[in-house]
Amino acid sequence: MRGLIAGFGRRWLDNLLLLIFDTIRSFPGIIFALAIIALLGPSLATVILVIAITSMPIYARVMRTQTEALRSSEYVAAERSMGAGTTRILAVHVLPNVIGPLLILVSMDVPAVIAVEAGLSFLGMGVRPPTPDWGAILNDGYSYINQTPWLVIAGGIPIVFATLGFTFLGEALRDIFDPKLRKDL
Amino acid sequence: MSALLRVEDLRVCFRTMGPLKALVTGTKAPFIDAVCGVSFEIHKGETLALVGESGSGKSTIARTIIGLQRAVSGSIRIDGQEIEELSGAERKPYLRRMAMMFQDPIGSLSPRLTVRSLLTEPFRIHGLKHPDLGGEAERLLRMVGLPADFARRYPHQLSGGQARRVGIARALALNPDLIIADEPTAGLDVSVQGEVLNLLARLQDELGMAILIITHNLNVVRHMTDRMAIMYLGRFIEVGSTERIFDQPRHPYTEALLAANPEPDPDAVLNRIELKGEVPSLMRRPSGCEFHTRCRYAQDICSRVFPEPSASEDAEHSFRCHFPLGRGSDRPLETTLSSAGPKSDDGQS
Amino acid sequence: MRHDDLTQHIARPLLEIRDLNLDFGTPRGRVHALRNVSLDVPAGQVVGIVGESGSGKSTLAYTLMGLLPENADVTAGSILFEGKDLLKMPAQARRNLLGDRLSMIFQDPMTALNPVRTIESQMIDIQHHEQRSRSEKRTRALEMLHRVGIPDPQSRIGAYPHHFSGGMRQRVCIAMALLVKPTLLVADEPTTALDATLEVQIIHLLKELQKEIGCSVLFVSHHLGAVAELCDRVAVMYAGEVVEEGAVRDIFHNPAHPYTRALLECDPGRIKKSTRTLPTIPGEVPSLLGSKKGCIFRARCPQAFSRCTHDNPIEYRIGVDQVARCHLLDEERLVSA
Repeated sequence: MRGLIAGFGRRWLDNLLLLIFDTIRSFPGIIFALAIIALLGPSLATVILVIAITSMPIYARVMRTQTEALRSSEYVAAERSMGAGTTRILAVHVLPNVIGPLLILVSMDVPAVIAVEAGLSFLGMGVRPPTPDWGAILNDGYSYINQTPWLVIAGGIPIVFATLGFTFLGEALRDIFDPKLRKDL
Repeated sequence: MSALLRVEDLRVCFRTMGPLKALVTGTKAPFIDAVCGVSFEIHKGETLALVGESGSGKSTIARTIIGLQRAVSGSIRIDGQEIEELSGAERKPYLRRMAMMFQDPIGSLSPRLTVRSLLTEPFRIHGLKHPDLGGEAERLLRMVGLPADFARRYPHQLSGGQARRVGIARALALNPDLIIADEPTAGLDVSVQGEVLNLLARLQDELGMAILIITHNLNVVRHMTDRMAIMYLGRFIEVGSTERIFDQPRHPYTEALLAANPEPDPDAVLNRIELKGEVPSLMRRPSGCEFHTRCRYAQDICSRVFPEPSASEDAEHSFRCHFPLGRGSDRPLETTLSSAGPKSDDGQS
Repeated sequence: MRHDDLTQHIARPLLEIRDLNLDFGTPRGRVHALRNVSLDVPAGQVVGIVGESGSGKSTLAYTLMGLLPENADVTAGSILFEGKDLLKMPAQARRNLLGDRLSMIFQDPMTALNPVRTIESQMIDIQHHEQRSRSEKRTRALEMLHRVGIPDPQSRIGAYPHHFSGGMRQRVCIAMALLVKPTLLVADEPTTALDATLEVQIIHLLKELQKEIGCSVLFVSHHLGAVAELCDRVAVMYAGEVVEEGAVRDIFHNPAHPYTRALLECDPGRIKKSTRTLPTIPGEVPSLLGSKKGCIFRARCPQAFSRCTHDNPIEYRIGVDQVARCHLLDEERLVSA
């Protein structure tokens, strides 16, 4: 959303938002995460917040570039010439066109996010038991990998399925959003 | 009869560098004039063409009229109401009376919308209640000669000519008094160009709207328009009735443009006039007559004195040239005008 | 017809395209983009290919240069260049011809040059077939830039493509294409992206350079005026077929195919009087999916008759060297006989 604003808004607004994104990005992700957890204490909400903040700048960047390319496109000018407001143009004409690459990015990021989350759990900074957590399960199994690998494999299968599921979901969503890729036409 | 659209002394600038850079480099005016001091009017049901090559400022004029670009000075009146001083919301009802068709037939249609949504978009933007939007879309499609089942298609499923028709239908949706057509035939094959122009002419006969055509293609102009204005570096250099200008161009640039669009005949095209060089950059406008760097008739005075517009005796046809082509009887008029001209040169910079 | 024109045709043409058929594989089926295309380019002549979008004219140019996308498939035919079949040649040998005997100018001078390298390095690189020192190559590049009308080439040669305007960039592209002294220059809509006054300049420049170097030019364009001015011979393409071919005067003064006639009539430059209704060609270009029986133009042809639905018209000869694919020509012959 912020990327949308940055790409479409005025020049100074764009620069300011980019400065914020880049500042966030310049922190090594895991250290930033630890800092926030140290401030807020470990909980499910904190983990979600941490992951959201650290991965946001990338999405915002992608969004911004895409939006910027569309801003100067002729159909946006055409809509403006009919008197359409900025909100309407963003919601109806820009967002559906930039969402495709973003969804792909999201679906590709799911495993990475699960890994981050698992990492945090491993450090004891993630989700607290008794909340179930795939990363934690994997970790528990990891201690016994020499005796019985099944714990790790069984714990890993849901992650694999979840990841694949998200990838397919992402591609399906992209196809729905993009009329050019719909097969029935 | 008052003019439907009256543009007076319009000036539009583009920034060449940011304000900070201008401050650091000490540039006083980090702007270039894309359009300088252009005046014209369009009456109800009339067709006017703005003709020029890329960089002549013709599209900028259109974008300024429709509100995509702010003018630095000058006035734009619709039915006598000045719209340049109105705020966004106050402008909206005036913008509704005009519709613009953009150059790229397919690229100017929002790619994720169906033709039906595209055609009814103007109603939604202006918050107009319409009892039967679907029926309205069908009516518009019929008007431009497309079958009703096109309403379900997306822009990428249309050919260039079909997309152009949809663009025309959308422009007509709110029954405008003026249609601004930016290069209506760009990217279309000759056989399709004819169809689009015929359609525009027929719709104009039926609905009586005025059309402002912006084009570099003189062939479009000849069959469609009542009057034409030829632009060079953001100024009108020749204005008059289309027939007159085709019959007897007075400005050497017009002459060269006309010659560049010859009849496709291997024996007739040999006398194409080749202009030297390219259109100068707007950042370095030539002194005096801005066309003198490419003009084959240029003389000493042309590089020093900026030519004021002069008119033919019946005032139907005006041009900015020290040595206009055609009958010599105009010349005394020119010399008197140009001797009074030098002051205006400073006024432009 | 002058005598030397005739003798030139007796000599073997530089390029002979024979019954070329090309399909594009698409998810919806095979698109027949070129059908039975035969065309000669005589040495030292400019041959124009005109047609509307979808006529296959650019596909033909790309086929010559071996620049087709992966889904293209040449199903039949041959392209003889200097007597050797380009389609049967090993890939390496064919690549060696490109940028040496064969070179190309593209439609869009904005994207045809590498934006991150200077004109100088691109112009030196293009001469990689030649055994010369770098400074010699640079001198030749400078001469060529001067020849195509770039002012002050000494200082401009170090510039990047974005420093040049559209017209200047097309001049640079022409300089690069001719630097290797090709025997055949393929120009794919080289003036489409340019303004009218620049188009005149580029056409005149191409004409002069062609005379000077003596190469052949295959000039692909939809602009009839440009073709009329530049070309010696013209081939008219419609929906993947060459429907008519001949000397430029014959085609423009005495068109034999109904499509050529319609196309010429549509050109607004022909219509001198002010009119509210311009001539058009009713109907749409047919889909090229699947195989077609009969004449490809029959659906839009005002003179179509029963034979056009069944028989695919062959090339009928008119006059000395003009051919057209239209059954009417056969009927006329029968009547007069």
